[in-house]
Amino acid sequence: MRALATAFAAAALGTSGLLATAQADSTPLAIGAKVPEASAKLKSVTTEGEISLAKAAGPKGTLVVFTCNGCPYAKAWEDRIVELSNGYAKKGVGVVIINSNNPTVSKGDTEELTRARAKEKGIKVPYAVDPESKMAKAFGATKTPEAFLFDKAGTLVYHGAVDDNHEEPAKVAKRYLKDALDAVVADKKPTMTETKSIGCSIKFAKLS
Amino acid sequence: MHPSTPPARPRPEALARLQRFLPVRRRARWALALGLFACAIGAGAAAVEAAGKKPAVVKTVNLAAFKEAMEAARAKPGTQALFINVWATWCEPCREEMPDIVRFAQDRKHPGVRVLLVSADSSKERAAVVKYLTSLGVDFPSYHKTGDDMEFINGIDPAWDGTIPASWLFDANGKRVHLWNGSLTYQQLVQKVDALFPPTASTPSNPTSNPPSKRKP
Repeated sequence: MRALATAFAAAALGTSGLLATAQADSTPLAIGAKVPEASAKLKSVTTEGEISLAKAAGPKGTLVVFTCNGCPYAKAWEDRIVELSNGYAKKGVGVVIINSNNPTVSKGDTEELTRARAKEKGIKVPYAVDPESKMAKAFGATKTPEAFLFDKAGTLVYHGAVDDNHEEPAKVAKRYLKDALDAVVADKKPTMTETKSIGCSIKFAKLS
Repeated sequence: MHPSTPPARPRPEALARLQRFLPVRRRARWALALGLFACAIGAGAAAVEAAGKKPAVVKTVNLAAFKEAMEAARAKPGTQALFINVWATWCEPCREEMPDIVRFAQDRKHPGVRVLLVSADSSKERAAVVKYLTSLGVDFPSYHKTGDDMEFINGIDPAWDGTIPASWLFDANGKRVHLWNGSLTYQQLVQKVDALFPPTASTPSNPTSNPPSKRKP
């Protein structure tokens, strides 16, 4: 009970970020770009051993989703992200979820809390912790949640939001990420390649 | 001969009833009483504080309505620029910078710059939005967006990726002259405004009356 209360309090704190955190200094990955840092070794809290995006890539493509434990937008979309990730992993899309929040800045995003949340949510795909935010910087990711979908050639074909309604899943009109995944599985190009949503800034390490 | 035992002291009936209802030890009863007293003090202080502040005016707007508000602000005599800030109650960097933004809006040093605050909180959080802005003494109208996020983001500025906090300076013709993709401080805001829009003798004052806000600890 104490551990649950601690986890809850820390997750609430996880929506916070200290002032003067470092901003992403790289521009967002452009459509057509290749998977960045494909060989970088990542620590997964859901699967054994180290992973890399190259190893996790699927025969149909690769999906990378930046998310975290505390952001209200990430939490609103969480079940949909998990459902899409677990579902399309079975259809040949390699999926890696990444938490690039620095846990010193965002106390709700420690490795332990991320592991607990991943287990609670039933995430079956690799979920990497990236406390130095290296992957976020490599992708030019700035917020959570933020999705990057690459085709089987490792080329970015979709970047952006999960869908058009974080608040009410039943009222979603445009399923951006699902449509893009369906296109990739069918070896086609998504019709919508870039979308936007409001989200929480990724909590980079504090500037010294 | 039976030893006599002193008769039991009769307990007050009310206390006896209480002790049957609430069988706690004496120390726990004191703790409970002190806790209730502290709560009463806190509630009273909050009530006094809330009573002293007029509720902030927050208008619910979709993109079209917010653009009308921007136009109306631009059309006011003496407008040099619009400062727009998108924030949310759950966004800590937004809350860190907000007292500085409110100070800028209320310190009358840049009356030609109209300040428009836009909350990106969900519709369920409207009460929290009003409460927060009221606590900061915001005495000018602000906004709470509804509708499609992407439409709103691109409608304000296609260069904005949707991360909050985000702030802009738009000149009197509606041209974006600066974007802050992240939090800012009072000094940073003043320096940029002074550089782009030096105050002139003819700019009238903003209709605000509250004293400068303090940054929250």
